[in-house]
Amino acid sequence: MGGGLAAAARENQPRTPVRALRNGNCQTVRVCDPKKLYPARDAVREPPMETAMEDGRSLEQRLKSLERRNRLLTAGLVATAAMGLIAAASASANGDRSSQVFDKIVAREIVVVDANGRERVVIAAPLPEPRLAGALSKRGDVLSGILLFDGEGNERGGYVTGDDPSTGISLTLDEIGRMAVSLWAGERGSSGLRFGNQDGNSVDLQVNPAGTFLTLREKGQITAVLPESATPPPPAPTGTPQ
Amino acid sequence: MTLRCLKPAALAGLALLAVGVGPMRAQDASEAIRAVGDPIGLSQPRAVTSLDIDPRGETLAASGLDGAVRLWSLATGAAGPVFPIHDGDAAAVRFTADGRRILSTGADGQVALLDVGAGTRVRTWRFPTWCLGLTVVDADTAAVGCADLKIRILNLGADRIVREIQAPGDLQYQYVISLSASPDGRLLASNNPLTLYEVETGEQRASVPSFAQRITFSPDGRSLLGGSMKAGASVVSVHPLQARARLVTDVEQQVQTPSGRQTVRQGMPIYGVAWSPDGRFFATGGLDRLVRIWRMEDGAEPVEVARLEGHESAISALAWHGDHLVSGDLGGHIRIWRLASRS
Repeated sequence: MGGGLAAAARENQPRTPVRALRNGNCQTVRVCDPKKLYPARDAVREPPMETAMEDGRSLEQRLKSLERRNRLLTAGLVATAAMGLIAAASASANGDRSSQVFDKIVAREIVVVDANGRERVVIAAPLPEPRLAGALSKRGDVLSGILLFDGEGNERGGYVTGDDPSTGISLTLDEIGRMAVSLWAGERGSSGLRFGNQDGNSVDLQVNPAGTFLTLREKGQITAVLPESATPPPPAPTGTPQ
Repeated sequence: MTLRCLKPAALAGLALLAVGVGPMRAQDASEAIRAVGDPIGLSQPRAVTSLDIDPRGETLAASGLDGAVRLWSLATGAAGPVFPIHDGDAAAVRFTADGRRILSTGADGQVALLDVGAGTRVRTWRFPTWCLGLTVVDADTAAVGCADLKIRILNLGADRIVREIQAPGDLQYQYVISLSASPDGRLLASNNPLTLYEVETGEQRASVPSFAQRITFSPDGRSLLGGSMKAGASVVSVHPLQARARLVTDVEQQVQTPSGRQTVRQGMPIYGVAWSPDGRFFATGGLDRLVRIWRMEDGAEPVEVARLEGHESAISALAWHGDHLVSGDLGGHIRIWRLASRS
């Protein structure tokens, strides 16, 4: 059956312009009658009625053939779609880590989780509220930047800045529940480095428009200031994580 | 599981152990506690935020950072139903006084009341901010403490907020994280700062500066126990509201100094606290992953009488009923310890 259609189609193959020119249908390609050069598509694919009848096939047979082809095409389409869905689901279930390259990602928050689903890195503007021993807490200031968390969900450091330029910018390393190290810069002319623990012991190095300072504290009390004549420098800009 | 009794005198008395399984009995001043057998180990997907045991001592409830409340048999550890309630953290869970219902609060601002037997949600209150503190006041009343520094007293029989109490503090930085109701239902205590209120009127009775992650009334209502985020825990008398004892939870650390290595003591934050039902003992747990059991002493500092070891993450919640002490940690692990007293 299919062979008959193919044979009919071969008989009605479009002629190329070169062939047409050789047959003398026109003088040049430009002035050729397109209808003569390229028979109508219907004529190519659908043999004339007489041809089909001559081929010994009835309309009913042709209809059955078309129906069968239609069923085959439908089945193929369904199978292809199903395979695509299965592949997508499989990739999703297996945590497909195939690299995708984006020219640009625009987001308010990006969260990186570990194999156990725990949040380990958060990039956000603004940053979410912190946690103390698993419980939500208040950050107080609106900050944006990057936070790092340990496997128990404790915030262990960040690189953050506030909305107001005077807030400054800080790189912090945290103990559980409190900041231990801070490297910060203010809006203009001030920057510092601070180490401290929960007992009130701390070392402050600070540069500001008035000079340079080193301040040592033990149990919250100042034990040394350099230069010795200096008064302790002011604290870090408001909003800088302490 | 290991247990270390810290008092040499008690160690010397090991041969005279009088193991009593069942509710703790009144004994002499040198009474201590030990764990019997290995604890039952349970786990949930994420950190344990709160634990509670129903008044009959049959069912354990745990809330977690996965937003769910889970039930287990206290005696066997057999898993019961899981209630995925909150979008975000489930912050606290409490059984109602009849033990047939459960209240839970969450980071999504919801307070849910569940019927345990039917496994259905009875009622939901929704607030504009997260609520972490939760306590059951009496058969019909509960209170929640929220990030907006408001304590809301709820009628469990209706969608009604009976009263709102404004907690003291700076709204930008402070919040109500823990609440406890006195056993007679007349007083409420909130943390940060530690403040007492009359339930009936909402009037503030007293307040002292402190920051405790968890607070809980003693069974006789005369003391409050609070674990500190900085280090240790405190026992505070209620009448008047003032510090009674500070518990030292230091651990020794080796540090390098210009003059050589030194041993220093480092305070450990306490995240979970629980009283024994008779009020003669209490338990603390925190960053050092130890469950410490303390004995109250009349007119003296509480004495640490036992340590329960085995948690691999910081302990975040404790609950005590009869001879069962339950501890939960930030890794999602729960241990049910069976205790016995000895002298």
